[in-house]
Amino acid sequence: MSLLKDGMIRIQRSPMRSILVTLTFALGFSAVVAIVGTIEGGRRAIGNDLEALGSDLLALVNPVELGTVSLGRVTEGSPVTSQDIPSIKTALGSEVETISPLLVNLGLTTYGEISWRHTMVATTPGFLSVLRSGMLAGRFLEESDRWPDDREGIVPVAIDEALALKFFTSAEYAMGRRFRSIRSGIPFTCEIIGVVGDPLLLRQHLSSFDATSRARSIPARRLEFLNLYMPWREGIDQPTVTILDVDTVDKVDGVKSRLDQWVEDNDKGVYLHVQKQWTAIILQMVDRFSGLGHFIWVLGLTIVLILTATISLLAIDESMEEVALRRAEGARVSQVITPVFLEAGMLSLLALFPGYWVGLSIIEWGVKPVLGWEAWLPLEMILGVSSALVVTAMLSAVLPAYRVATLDPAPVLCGRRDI
Amino acid sequence: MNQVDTKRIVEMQGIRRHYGDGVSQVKALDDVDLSIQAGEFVAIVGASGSGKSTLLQILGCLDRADSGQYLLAGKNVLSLPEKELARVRNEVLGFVFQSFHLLGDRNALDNVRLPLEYRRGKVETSLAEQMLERVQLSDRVKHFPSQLSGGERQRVAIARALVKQPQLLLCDEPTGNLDSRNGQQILDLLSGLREEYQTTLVLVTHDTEVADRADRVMTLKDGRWSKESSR
Repeated sequence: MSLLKDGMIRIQRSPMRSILVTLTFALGFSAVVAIVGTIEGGRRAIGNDLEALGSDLLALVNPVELGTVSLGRVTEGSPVTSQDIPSIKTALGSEVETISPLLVNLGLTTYGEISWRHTMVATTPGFLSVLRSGMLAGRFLEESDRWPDDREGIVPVAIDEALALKFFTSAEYAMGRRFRSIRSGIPFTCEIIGVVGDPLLLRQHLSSFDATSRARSIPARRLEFLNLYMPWREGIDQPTVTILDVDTVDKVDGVKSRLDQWVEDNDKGVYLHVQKQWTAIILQMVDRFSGLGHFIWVLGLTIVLILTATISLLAIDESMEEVALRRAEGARVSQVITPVFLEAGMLSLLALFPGYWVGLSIIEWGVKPVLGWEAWLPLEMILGVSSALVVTAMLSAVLPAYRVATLDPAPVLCGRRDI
Repeated sequence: MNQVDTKRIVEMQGIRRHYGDGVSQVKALDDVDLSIQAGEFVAIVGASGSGKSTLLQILGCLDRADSGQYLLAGKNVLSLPEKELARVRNEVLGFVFQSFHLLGDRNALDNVRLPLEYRRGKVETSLAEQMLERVQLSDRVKHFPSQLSGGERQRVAIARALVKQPQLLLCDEPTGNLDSRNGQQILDLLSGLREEYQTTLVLVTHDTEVADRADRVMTLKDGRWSKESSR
């Protein structure tokens, strides 16, 4: 108990030093909280986005033909056509919920004074099952939605939320609106029948920081969710990508092997994309990024350690005579070392709450508005970084404590001044 | 008061303490023998650099001799581990320094209590209060060192040394920082307390007037005894 009191006296004796050390601990801890909170929040946000893209999807991607060059072909053979879909259904059975052909083009849309190039996806109503976030307003394409027979007719379309916000400021306001678009050089008029919810939460804040966008696979890039969805024209449209929505993630591997067999049996020249594998690769990349972030906060705590150890060493130098007197009066080495550790421990505990608060404020006011994700600090992470701070504080007391432990009281007590 | 097991509280033989080596070697103590009876008042005098402070530090287990034998209350202290030495300093020895060495952020009572905090069990505050009363500072219990005069500070230091009820009280120039009136009062107090508690007193000084109060005066010169006189 008296050792604890000694520790507290050491804190009270030099208020400025104690404040400086506590401030160093608090700022160091706030940096740790901000880094860890940002990393973990980012991991969760990216994970959510990846989940929203669907990890139980498979995609047969036809190669992109650039003149005589064919990009993206893995197997040798012909591309997948809409006529192949019944055959795929037969080969895969009931484990696949829907098979949706997608014809993806880049188009131009004009509304009022705004023109924007974006993707246009012709697909079947079954594609709705791939859209995990569902409809924000209205409905998705149905079997009854068709292209008009004449060029002046109206094309019923669904648009992605991001597109709706770009042109119409809100999903509700977009409903029923008509605008002009051009696809493959052919102009047409669209009428919005529904707005698809944006599954990519990150992009809602700042698309340039959308961590998944640049890393997205070819089919995923085609699922940028900046799309205009229009009806599939049976017998005319041919798929760029054919999306297969498997029942559950567990069945993906089995379905993939049967699909590989189908590709081989039918001599198809395609790239088979497995969203689950790609998701795992992305998460692995995110984990590496997280590892770097964790290294940075460890580095930060090391700097805190050096700073506070330096301050504490100076303080020990100032209290050498006191330590010498205590040793002369019968204090054991452990009895003069313990208050040094207790002081560091108490100051670090004092720094925990303000440090945590400042760290969360940094995320709230600095990180969130820019990157767009919420901080996420699970309890075990809070306990972990808090323990790391206390351990850092204890380590910072090692050098001063060693100095105290190895002190020879005799020459110090020869000093001719009061303590 | 702790009972003295043997009549001789201090028995030193061939104590040697050298600093540095080669031509720059300083022989602070060179083959020094010393024997002190329990209850005796011994003054060690000598010029500056004669080795008297080094001898006091070895006597007080604050420093270790390079060679020789030192029996303190029958214990060979030179071979004791640091933990045991701490116990000896706490239970057998008391120190009074020239510059008081009081803790500035503790009041007089807490300064006197300090040695007791390093003992097992509950700290007897009443013992510290009694000791302060004994040195006539009962009205200064809550005063901090900065609020006390030089003489009062030294009296607090004496109370701190005696609260341990030591068998051997070591004083290093206890009046060196005091005027003659306060110096006399401190010496009177030390003499009175020594008789009252039958404590052995070893006092290092360069002041012959102070030394004359002792039962025995021993003079050190260049780390060796040069003279010894008894009253």
